[in-house]
Amino acid sequence: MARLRDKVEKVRSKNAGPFWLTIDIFCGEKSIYQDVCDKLSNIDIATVLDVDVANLKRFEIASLNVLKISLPRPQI
Amino acid sequence: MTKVVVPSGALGLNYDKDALQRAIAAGPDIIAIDGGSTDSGPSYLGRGISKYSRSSTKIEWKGLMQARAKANVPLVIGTAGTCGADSAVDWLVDITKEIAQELGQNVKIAVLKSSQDKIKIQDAFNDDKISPLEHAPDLNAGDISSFENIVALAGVEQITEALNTGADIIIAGRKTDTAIIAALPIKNNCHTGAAWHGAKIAECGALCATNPQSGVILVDFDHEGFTLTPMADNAKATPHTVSAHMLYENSNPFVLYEPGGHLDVTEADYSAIDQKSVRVEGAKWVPSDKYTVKLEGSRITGYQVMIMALVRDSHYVEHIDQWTSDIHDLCTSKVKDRLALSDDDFDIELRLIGKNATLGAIDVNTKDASEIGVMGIVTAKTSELAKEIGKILNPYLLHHPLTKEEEVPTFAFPFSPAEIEVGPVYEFGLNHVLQLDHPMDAFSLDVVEVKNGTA
Repeated sequence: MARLRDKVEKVRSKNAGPFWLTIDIFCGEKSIYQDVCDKLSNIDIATVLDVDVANLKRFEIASLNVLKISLPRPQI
Repeated sequence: MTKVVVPSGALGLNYDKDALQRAIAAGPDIIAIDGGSTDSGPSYLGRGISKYSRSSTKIEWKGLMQARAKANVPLVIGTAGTCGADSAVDWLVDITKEIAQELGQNVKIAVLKSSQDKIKIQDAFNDDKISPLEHAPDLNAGDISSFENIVALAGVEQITEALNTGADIIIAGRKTDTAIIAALPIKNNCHTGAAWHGAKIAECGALCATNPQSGVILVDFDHEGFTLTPMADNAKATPHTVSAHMLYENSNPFVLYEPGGHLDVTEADYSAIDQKSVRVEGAKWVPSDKYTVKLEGSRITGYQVMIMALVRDSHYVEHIDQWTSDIHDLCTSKVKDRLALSDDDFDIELRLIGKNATLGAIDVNTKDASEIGVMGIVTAKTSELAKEIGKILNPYLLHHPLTKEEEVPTFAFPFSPAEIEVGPVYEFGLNHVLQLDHPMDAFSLDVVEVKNGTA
């Protein structure tokens, strides 16, 4: 299985205020963006982060080739 | 047309002095800088203090006060002193008076305060004027008295009131990231959507451009949109850097809720004007029926002691999970026995730095380490108990053997004393909005003058 970090330009995560976390996946090229959007499902992300998939917000931003995922900030 | 200079993302992060001079030469209408954020955690709001050093703050604020005098335009700071509580605002007002005296400046200072009276918040809660935002912590009537500090986030309306005093300097408590930048363009009848949009893009200074550390940017607002230009020699804005900033620390990159409405940038268009500047149009401002301001509150949830041990013995590194799990269990039962406590009274956590201290059990990318820092975090209901438990934990982290047969090991304590008092631990307990009949209802505005070096 291909690793996300080997395919895309940059993955960054940051708190969005005290109660939310947001992850921006900068894909660089359109073909990679399409591939990431097609293959990286909300269920995959929720499973990896051990959070409820119903709480994920997904934004596919074609103009920037970015997939953005926001979720209530987990307490670890 | 309204030109806003944003010197950096926050006072305390420094800015490029040459770039600031260039921005002043461009003839701005206002200098606006943020003073804080919740990013550094709840302790600053809980204690009502700044996270930045007084000396750094004073040096950077002095530079901005000199730039203001030169440009003869208002200088505005919001969320003063990191958290924007009244005590943090007073702290910056004192620094401002001190600088004015040193520079011999005569200045009129408008002080906008955001701290909330707990009794009034309690009444508002009882009157159903407080509602939770998405995934807000539960809030019961009895909880409100538990907060050390509650602040409301001011918007454009309150900053405009402060501007209307004709003050040279505005020192505001907690406010939204965008309010200090959007206020003057909106007051001057620039495009409202563009004012909010440009303010959001500019709120972190040059973070929306290349060379983000350079800080200083100039945003020129007009009736259709805004043009953004970074001021440092080696910084440039591109449609990509500018539009990508809408992603930054926003859970939703298209919609931003503010007091009195929301910004929608779905239809915004970003175009390059030249090698350095970007033109943006097309954002919409959608007013809301009710006027609400967001609340933040910080309260004490316990008292902590921290203890760090470094484990370098390969046998122990290899079996670190077993070692820390044994220590956790042994220490927990000893604490319960000797201090007559139950599980609810305290917590002992051992985090493994070099293994998975950040993500814990969900980390799927751990690698074999040559050494591990064991960070012990003791949390208890009182400071005295936390210190007692820290002392009970100490000898385990120094000497606990993996098996009874082996010689007693000694691990490395980087600090003496090893158990370090952290003090009260705070949490943010509000993610709610307060409905107001009038925008100034939850805020106060005063004017202070420094004349001939005296306040």
